[in-house]
Amino acid sequence: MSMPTDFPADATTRFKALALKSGATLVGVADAAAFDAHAPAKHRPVDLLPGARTVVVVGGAQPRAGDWVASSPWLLSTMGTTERIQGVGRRLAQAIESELGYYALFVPPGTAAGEAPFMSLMLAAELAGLGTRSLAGPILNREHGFMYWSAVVTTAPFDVDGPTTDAACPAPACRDMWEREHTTPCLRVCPLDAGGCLAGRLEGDRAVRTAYDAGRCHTRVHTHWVGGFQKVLEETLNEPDRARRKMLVYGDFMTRTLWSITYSSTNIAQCFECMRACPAAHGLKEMR
Amino acid sequence: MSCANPEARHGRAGARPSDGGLGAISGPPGRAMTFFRLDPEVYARHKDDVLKLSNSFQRIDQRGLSDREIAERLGLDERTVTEIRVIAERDCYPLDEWQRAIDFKRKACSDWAAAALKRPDLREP
Repeated sequence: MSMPTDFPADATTRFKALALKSGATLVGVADAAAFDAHAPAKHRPVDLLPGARTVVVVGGAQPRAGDWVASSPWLLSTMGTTERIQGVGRRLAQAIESELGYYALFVPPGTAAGEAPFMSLMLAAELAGLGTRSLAGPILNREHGFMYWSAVVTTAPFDVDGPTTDAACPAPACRDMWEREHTTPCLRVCPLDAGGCLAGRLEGDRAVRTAYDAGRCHTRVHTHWVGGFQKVLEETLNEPDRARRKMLVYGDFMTRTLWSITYSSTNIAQCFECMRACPAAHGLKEMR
Repeated sequence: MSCANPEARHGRAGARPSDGGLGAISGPPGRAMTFFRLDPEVYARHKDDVLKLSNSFQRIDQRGLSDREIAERLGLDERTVTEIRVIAERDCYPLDEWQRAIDFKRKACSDWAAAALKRPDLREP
């Protein structure tokens, strides 16, 4: 596809300003072709929008410092703010089409099939230079830490930002801990070899993840979600005793799960423990 | 109460059910569609391989394959692989693991709050 010659010179700056004004903490632009080296077919920008040139990525709506130190794990899972950054993505998509006249596709935040996303928002954030992958998995921004992401695939030829090499992980405190104890906060809180999800090590200034059990991670991130509902439903259907069936259906697990599902996007992420313990995930600002 | 008779014809109605239509405004009579159900034996035979090749158990420097790539590798069709993967993602841990998830989060969260706020009383026993 040839590049248009009438693309406004200030469009990238203008749309980045719009993203920030709309509530994003961060905004970057990835080259759509850069996904080819990392993502399988059907999960690349051009698979979602033929002719895609760039991917505009916004980050923000992260949990507040008070959320991170709450003593109940249910607080973060019921105070999710991911839909706020999705709203910014939708607004950008609309503005790109109405003001510039280029196709713009808001990347659906849900899954295409099972747990597989339409397109990896984490990869998009990496390629747009907004952060780097942490040992625990999530993309962390050096200044702001853990964030939620949204992306718009577009045919508009915005100026592209390259990936950053300024990694937030491992944090200095984690390097010190590795020296002393040969572990890190995230590995200690959720170790694969002791019923958790993560395995890895630090090699100098580099975090190397060696294994990740996504299946177990789903039981934690989606405890009271679609998977939990299916599991209890199966158990209920297999339970021949009527009174015992009632205990399952009316019990706390099923009730909480149904609340979560019906509140939809505000309840999707339900485990933050690797990020709660991460010194790089909460931003640089000190709280009192 | 009376039910509609889908075989009755009114105005621009589509093909009768007996002719393969929907009995309402619709396209021409077509092939009967059946709900896709995975054969449990096919599932049992391939679930471990599909999970191993997918993104469900990630390894460093080795990206998980897409359903299409797994299908090519195992000689299956993509739809079957998608169905195997989706079911296996849910099937790989028993319900007890969900309870362990709750216990894990409750403890990890209260431990963190106790440490971060220097309030040992917040730690759950």
